[in-house]
Amino acid sequence: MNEFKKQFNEVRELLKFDDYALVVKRIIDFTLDTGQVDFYKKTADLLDWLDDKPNSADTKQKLDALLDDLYSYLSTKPLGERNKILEAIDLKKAYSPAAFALGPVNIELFEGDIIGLVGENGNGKTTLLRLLCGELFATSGNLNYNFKYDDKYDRRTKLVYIPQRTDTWRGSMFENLVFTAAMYGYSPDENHLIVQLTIARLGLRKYRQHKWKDLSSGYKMRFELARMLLRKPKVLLIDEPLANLDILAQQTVLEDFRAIAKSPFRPLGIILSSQQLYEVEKTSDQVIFLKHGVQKNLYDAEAQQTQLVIEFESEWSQSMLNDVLSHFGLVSLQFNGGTYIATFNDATTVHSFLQLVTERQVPLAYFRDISNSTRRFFVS
Amino acid sequence: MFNKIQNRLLLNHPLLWNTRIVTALIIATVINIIFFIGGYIYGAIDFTEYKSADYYVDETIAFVTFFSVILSLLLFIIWLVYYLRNNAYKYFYPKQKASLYKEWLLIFVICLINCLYTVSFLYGKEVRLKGYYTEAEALKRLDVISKASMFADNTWHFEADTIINEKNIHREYFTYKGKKYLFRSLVNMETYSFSLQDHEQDSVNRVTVQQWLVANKKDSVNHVMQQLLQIAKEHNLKANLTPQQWLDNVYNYPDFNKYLVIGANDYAPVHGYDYRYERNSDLNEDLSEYDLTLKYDAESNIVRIVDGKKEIDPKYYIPLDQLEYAYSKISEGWTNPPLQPEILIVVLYLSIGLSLIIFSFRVTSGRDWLIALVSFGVTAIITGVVSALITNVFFRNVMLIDDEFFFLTIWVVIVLLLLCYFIYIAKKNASKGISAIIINHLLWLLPAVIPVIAAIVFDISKEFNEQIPVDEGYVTIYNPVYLFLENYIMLIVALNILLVFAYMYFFTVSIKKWKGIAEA
Repeated sequence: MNEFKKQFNEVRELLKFDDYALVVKRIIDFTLDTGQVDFYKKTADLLDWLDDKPNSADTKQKLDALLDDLYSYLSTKPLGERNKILEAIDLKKAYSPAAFALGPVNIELFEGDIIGLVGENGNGKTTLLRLLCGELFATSGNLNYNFKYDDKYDRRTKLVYIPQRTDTWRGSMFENLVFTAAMYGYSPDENHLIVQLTIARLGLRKYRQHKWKDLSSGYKMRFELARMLLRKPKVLLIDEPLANLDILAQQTVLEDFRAIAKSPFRPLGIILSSQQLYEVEKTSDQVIFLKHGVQKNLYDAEAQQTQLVIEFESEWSQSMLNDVLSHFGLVSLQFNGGTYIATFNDATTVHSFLQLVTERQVPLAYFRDISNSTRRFFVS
Repeated sequence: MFNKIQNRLLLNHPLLWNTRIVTALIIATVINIIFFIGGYIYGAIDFTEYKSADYYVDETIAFVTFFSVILSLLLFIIWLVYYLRNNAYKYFYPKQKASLYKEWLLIFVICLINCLYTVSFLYGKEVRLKGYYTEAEALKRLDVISKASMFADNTWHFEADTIINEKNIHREYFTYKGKKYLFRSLVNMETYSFSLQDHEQDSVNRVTVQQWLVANKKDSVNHVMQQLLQIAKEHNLKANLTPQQWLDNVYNYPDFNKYLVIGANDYAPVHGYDYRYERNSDLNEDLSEYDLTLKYDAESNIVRIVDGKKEIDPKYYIPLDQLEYAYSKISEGWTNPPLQPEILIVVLYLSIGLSLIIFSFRVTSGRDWLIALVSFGVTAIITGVVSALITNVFFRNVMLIDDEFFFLTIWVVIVLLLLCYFIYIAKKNASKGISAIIINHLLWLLPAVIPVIAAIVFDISKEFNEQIPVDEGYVTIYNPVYLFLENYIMLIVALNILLVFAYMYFFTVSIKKWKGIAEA
């Protein structure tokens, strides 16, 4: 079963459980995958119909019919290749001899992959993103882009970098997106349709005519993502996209990233920075932790953690906990910002830890196995 | 309508949509048409108008210019608000190689059409003036007025006087074609002249009439009189005599001494004009020879006592003053049209300057633009002081050029150095440095380099003109560079406009590539 069929079956499952909102999003993704104006029209008509009849009993049937059409077209379409699109080798950036320096950083980004950048503030996440997009030049090292471009300006058109604080734009959201689509060569026939689909894909349909000042931070970020989708970039570099989003919106946006990156026909390489470790780890294919400009990869074979590291909250004191845990292979116990980080030798498993705390009735308010999370880098 | 056009442009030609060129051009064209119509109306000649005795300045053009500047500024601000809403270049949207060049050309077109309001007004005036008659017809009519002016209240031709030993000898007689005439004879009357008539034609008219008089060609004189009164009639101007009466009252062959002064207007007394002013020259004069009252025929004219003084009004008059005043405007319309080529060059440079100021803001940023402005001002002050000190204090006796030209020379060198810096940054694979500010300076100053160099060379070349003593005076031998520049400096300034359009293509292509260079 190829990637498309796998994703298509997931959508069928969603439809089975009447999760129409998600189904519509994925239908839009598939529609954009077709690259056919006829399908754009069909899906745009469906969106209008859904607006008119939000609770119609025919919704499921309509969605199902469109999914069938999309399947019959896309099942014969060749899948997009997943090539290495960007490679950084020993990339370094020093602002001045005495000041902060980033690197050496080594990155390999493939189409369809998401790389998460995590680390404390001021440790080089933004600098790395700006280096990768060409906004900063590297003091040393190599940066290779695996796509054709005429000059540096042309290269920048294919790399979309969305900073944490985006620029103000003027006019309505719809007008701005139509302008972007026109600049990126969409024909007049498909322009409005594709903008409508993109707007709907990012949940901005109600805000089409809104201006920058009328949108919340979260919707401004969604606008940037909509604009990015229209730009069809080779690589998306995005700085702290979750910073201004509530937890639900964070999950939605990350799921959107995943769907966009993993498109079977238009795979996209994404590098994003965030402080939301666990959310990013769930979504990313690789997570890079930066501390004082030095890189640590979460999924490096060399860096694989063999010890069990547990983060938990308990009302017991550090010495009471130490007394209990020290007999079960405890290597270290750290108290950090209201939580304890306990490191055990490789003989201890998460189940034996849980068994112990249950037997000894250790009060636990919160617990997480961070053995394979960048969280452990923050405390080590 | 505008929305429909804009929507179409947005989908098909986003650059045209972004610059709002169609809307801007439609509005500016309508305003230009209004100004043109205003100028056309203003250019209308009131043939019944008398030339005012008071010297006054027509402030209409100044008012129109002021009003058009205010209107231009207002439209610029409104246009900029819309234009600056979107900037594809800032966001690295795909652009063709010449896209920035096209954008600058569009800005230039908008600037140009928005700076043309006064020009449209002047052109409207010119079209109106030239529209009255063709040049040939106008000349024909001017010749009629000139010839007929010898037979109305006019001055004598004072060249009939002779200067002997630097003393103006006023003679009572003069000789023409071997015959002696009184100085005040009709044969010695002046003719009106107009700018459209060249100097020779001016003399030809007078000589023609003189020859008619000498040869007693009464019919020819009568014909001119008929033509003049016909012209007057066309313009609803009144004369209180017929051509025949006019002829009878002035034509007195062979001496032409006895003639009735025909008023050139319907209100002025015959002696309303003091002829002695004409004769008030630097030379010693002796006015006692002339009895000016001889000119006037008190019996045939109307004599009135006004404020205890005798006033002689002509019995007959023709509307010659009004015709002269109106037709001199028509004549000026051809010889000195309101819309001069120099005005067009100024407007072109103004439009180029404005477009480059806007374009520089567009391709860099507000911050860079402002820093460029302040640094330019500060450097200008410093270089101004330095050049004044060098030329007037330290090297006063050795400098070939004045302080203002030395100042300009420093700036030419600065601009060339800035250009080298930009080329270095564009070629080097590193950061932009301060090149965004430098681009602003280059965009603003490069168009002036060639004209400024020409002005500097012209100033220096003056020093190489030689003064050679000849007899009691001096003859200046001009060096070829000086002569060339004196003749062609305006052409150089005009051709520089083409050069600006040529180099801007390459500069805009470089600016687009430069945008991709890392910031730091």
